[in-house]
Amino acid sequence: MNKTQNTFITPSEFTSLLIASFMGIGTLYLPNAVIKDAKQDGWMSCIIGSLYPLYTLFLANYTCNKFPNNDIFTLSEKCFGKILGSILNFIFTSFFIFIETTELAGLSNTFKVYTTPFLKNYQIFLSVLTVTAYTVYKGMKPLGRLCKVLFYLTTMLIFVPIATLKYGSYLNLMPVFGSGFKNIIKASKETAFFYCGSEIAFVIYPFLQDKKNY
Amino acid sequence: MQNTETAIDSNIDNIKNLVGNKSELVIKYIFIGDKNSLTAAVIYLNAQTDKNIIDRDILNPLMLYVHEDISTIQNVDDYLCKKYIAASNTSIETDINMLPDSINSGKTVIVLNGISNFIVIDTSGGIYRQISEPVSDVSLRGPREGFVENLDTNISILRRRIKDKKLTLHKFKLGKRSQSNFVIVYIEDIVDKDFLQSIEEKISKIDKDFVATNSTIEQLIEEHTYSVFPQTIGSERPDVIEAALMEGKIAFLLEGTPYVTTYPTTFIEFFQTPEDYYGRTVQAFFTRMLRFIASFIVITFPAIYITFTKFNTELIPIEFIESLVQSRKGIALTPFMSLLAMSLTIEFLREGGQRLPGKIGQTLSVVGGIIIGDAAIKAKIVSSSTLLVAGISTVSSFVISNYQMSIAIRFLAYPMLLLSNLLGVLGIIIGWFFILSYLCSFENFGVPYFELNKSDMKDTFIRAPMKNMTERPKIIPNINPIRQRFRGNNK
Repeated sequence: MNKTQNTFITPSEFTSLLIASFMGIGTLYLPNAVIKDAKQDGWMSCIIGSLYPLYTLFLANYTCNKFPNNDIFTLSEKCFGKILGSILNFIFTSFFIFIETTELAGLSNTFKVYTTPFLKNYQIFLSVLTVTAYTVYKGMKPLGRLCKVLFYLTTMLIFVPIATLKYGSYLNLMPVFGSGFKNIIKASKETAFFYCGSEIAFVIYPFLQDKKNY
Repeated sequence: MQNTETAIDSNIDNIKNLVGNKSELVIKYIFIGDKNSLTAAVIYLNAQTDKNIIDRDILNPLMLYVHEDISTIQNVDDYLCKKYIAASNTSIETDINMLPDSINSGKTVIVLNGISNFIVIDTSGGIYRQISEPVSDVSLRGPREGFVENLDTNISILRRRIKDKKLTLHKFKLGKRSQSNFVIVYIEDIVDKDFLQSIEEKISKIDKDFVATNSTIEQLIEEHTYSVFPQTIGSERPDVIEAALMEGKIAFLLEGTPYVTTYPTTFIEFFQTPEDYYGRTVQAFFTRMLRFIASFIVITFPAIYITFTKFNTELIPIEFIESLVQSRKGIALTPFMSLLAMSLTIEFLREGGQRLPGKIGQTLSVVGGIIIGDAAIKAKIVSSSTLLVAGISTVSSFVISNYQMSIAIRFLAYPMLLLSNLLGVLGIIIGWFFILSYLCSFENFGVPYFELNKSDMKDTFIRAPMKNMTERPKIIPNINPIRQRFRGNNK
């Protein structure tokens, strides 16, 4: 009944919200992007690429400890003044718009290729965006709850590819470091897009219930 | 307000006016005492009182056994109560405006000549339904008694089960004209005080001419009027209400209805039955899983069938598609139309069979189920596979234990069918996403309707062993989370 229960999100909901923002259509064609440069060492590029979201999360943690009640929009206005702050905020927001459009386009491509070739682009966009907008409109707490539920539901999907493991072979990973460090680093740059989304932490940390743990 | 009038006739006239002249008020004049006898009047309402008590404990001693001169005695009303009236519950009332309420609830009033006070004796009786096993809530291993229409009996049933002194009753009068007695019951050191206050506020705002059942109250105080999902669960069984009270919920008991509702209610409760707790843990897990699978089938199975036959035929195995094509040969209606028609027909049969008396209902199910189904296939309206899908989803809808939730889930199948007909697999995904996000954003009196807490998992999809259920559900606000202290080994 207490109001905090229905406005602030719990740590587990925060975690699943972050995971939900990582997971996108990119997971489907991430191997495609890394294999171009790193070839069989693509898995290493993925690990190196994950440094970027970790870095942003540490930054978010730092700002959260310093200013627990201000999100990045108010902070940048405080630090850089009204005009410059607004411009920076606009750039930060446009980043999400960019992600949104890429995700939507990827989603529509996937659906058109695999399941619903009869649909037009706008039909997919409209129907997906309506439901998403409805959920976001309801507020941060319902979003947190939903992400938690979806997290449990989507973890089941991890077990689906296990069946293909019996066709796998260790030889596919050999030779290790065969494509050279330079190429591995180069490919890890490609993964940055698939890992972006953790920046949302800068916006949602004021909603955290217990800020000390983060 | 103190009554100052002492003349018996004017007092009786006042009472008559207050109760209503047209009511079935019985007024019997008696003389008390041998010499200098005192005129008195016994007033009660017909059919609300137990006449045996009035004859034996009031009229008999007052008329036959008073052999002294009571006109000299001070405080004669109190004296009569203490010495002659043998009924157990008597009181002296000084305010005449309180009397109509007492008379209406079956009490007997004695008016004495020359005295402004009234003697009120509890003689409530009248005929009520006996405590019996509830027809709609049948239990295999639980108690057999159920609530009845009499409020006092219901409270006594609860009191008998919960002897805790913290069991608190808060009485209300609901309905401007019906003046129904209404009680909210809670356990004081478990219930969340803020929640209790908000509920009490909402109840005190009710201003309706009559309140017939608990569902009326539910609809008057609920927050989401146009929601499909039921927001309050109730039962006619005291053991269910007892368990709900122990979780920190508030029970609503209304005079004249055996159906008791509990607040707040969460989504998961509609999939739980008391049998889960009386049976074995593993069996409870199995039956709960069945319920969740069934509700998934009711919502999704027709939609998946439409998607497969209309858009994604490549996903159907080749052996199966041959028989599917053969059964669909010569049918003009699309799968969507025929499935919709069949689902609606079954819906009609079920809704019709519900209101009919038992024997005609059986005829209806035979005519509907067998003859219409068979004829529909022969007449090439539907294919046999479509009928099978409609049948399976109907049978699954009976598995959901709560009838209101069953209707809600059945209803959800139709938009899902439409979405899958328009958007294919994407429609099913969007439909489910919407249902989930709707459930997650749903708040019932400030309590989340659907939330997965780790500590509540013991009683959501599984039912943990009794020894392990040490805490009350976190989703229900309470101030005392410990349910049991001893934690024995499971050996």
